[in-house]
Amino acid sequence: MVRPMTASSAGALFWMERYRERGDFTCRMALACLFVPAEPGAPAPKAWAALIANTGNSAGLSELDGNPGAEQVLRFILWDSENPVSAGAAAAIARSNALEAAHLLPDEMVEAVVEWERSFGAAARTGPGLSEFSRVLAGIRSRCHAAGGAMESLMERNAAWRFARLGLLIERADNTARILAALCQRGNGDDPNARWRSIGLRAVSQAFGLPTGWHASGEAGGSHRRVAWLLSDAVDCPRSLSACCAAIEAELSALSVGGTAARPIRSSLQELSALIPASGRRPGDFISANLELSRRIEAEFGFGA
Amino acid sequence: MGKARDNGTAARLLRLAGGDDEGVRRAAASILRDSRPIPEPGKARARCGPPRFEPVPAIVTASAWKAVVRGVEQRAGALNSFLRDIYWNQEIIRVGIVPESAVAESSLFLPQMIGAEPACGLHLFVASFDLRGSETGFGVVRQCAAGAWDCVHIPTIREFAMRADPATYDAAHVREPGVLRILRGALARCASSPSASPPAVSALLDEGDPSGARSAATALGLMAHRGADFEIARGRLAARTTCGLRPVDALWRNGPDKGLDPLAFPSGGQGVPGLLGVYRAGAAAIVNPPGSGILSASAVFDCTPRIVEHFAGEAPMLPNATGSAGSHFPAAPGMPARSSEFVLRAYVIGTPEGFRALPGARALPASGSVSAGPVMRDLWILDG
Repeated sequence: MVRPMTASSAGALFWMERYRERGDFTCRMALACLFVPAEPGAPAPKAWAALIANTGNSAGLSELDGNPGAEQVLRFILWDSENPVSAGAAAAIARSNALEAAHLLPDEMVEAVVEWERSFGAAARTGPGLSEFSRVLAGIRSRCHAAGGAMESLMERNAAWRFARLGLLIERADNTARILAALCQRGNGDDPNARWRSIGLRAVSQAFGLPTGWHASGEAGGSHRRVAWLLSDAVDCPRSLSACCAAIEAELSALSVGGTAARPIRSSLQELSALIPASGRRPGDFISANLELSRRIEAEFGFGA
Repeated sequence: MGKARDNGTAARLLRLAGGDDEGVRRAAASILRDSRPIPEPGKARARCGPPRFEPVPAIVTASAWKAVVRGVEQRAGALNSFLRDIYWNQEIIRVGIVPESAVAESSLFLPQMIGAEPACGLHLFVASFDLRGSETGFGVVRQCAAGAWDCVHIPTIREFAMRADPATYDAAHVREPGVLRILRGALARCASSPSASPPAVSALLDEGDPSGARSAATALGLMAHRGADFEIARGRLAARTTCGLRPVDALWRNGPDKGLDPLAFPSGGQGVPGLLGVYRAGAAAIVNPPGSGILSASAVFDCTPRIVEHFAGEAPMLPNATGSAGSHFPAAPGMPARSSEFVLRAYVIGTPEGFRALPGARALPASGSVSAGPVMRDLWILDG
């Protein structure tokens, strides 16, 4: 049996890592946008729509006046203070949770999260041009990764670390499923690869650091199947749904989640794992199941709303 | 009792007092560089400057310490009786020892606690007394029921002194305080558990700045929670943990009385709704019990010698200190004069056998402000 810890502290760790992963994911998507080759005659933001949809910013963007340009779109999803789902807003929530759980975290990690959140404000004040976004994003992401590095290298593998890991893994699985959802959103009769080409297979590959060449295929539909397999079933890809589910199960086992009280979590996890093979076709089901698992974990450990 | 000191200890301390022991200063600077500041309870870490290590320890002879112990134990016992009296029959006001205005007009007096009987039977569990020394003896300059959290810093400061100058420490044969062990044991005895298991004690952190209190709770092995982490379930206080609701039998808190229960004190802060009801029902002990903060009121402090005389039935061994002169405890033979300039903070805890002084104390600067950062100065109790 693991030593109990205050539920609110566990919740702060869980949400700190969820929002850190969410903010970094938005940055990755912004970076992927920059890799998307502009189509002749079409404004760049239009080609980015599928990528930006993964970050939950589509609704906010549609409310912007006029035809926003590339810089305006990137500013909106990254650090617009009016946007509650920007990467900067996620960083602010991660920061407040890090300060709440500071007594359980290495100082280096708390400082890195605070610096990460500040870097969004600094970038907003500087107002970089489109050609500078890549450099600015690299700086922002390095601070986020410094926080992750401090957590991995300086924290004991205790309950606090495991709650933080659970938050990170659940958010990561959600993000991967959203990428798969973008893959599935195609019209009748569309070439499955066309959608992927439109959101930039190479861009996603580069942004996620996936193995090179996985997106290339000689046969029609090959890329689609390969992408779906890699993001859902590949156990050696740390962002695949399979790898995330296995890691979530390992963390829950280490937290001694068992017995009748934990039955809802177990069944949720089984349901989630069962959906992995179909996630390339029905990612929406996976996203719903992942959300349910998160809710049950929050309820089980006492930090739910 | 420790062994007799050799002359080398005094000579070493004299060199330190003269500021010419570079080795100790370098060691102290190195330790402080690697250490986090120790915030005083109630002070934010950001506002707390870096700690300053005073290499010359404060020294109290065993005979002087014995007089301090007797005096603070007598005072704590009488103050416990005083608290019970003002929250029950208020006889001490009727006989005119304490003016009614000293109690009724104090914001620290809680009418909500009238008629309440603490679960542990003690209205005062832990108290601190700041003492000043002079040629005529010791006097109390401050008494506090809420400021005793900092006693957990005693072992930390001792460790600094040992690491900075181990040779002198070993040669001096200082008495070991063992404060945390005693305090842990006393806390476990201050409450009873309805089940066979030992009583569960948790710490309630002040909403303002919990960092100092959290480190103190960790040192005592207590789970530290904010008010929002507690709830009242089936008439008992329980803490929300990752393993479910865990009943709490005793609560060690560092915040003010009015931050305990928003139902009783709507303007006080977050606290735990319904906590005072549970306390009054005897289902949870609170250390220190609500209402004990009135001991810090200046009007009550001024009356304390008469209170002691009334309840103890004898003259107070420790009068209130008068004037604002510096503090000089009787110097140990052969020791540098600087080792006797300090204000001594002694702690007393309540036990079923009576009030007992903790076998360790803190040395505070004799004068001046500590706003520049906490002063880390060890206090040695030496024979002789």
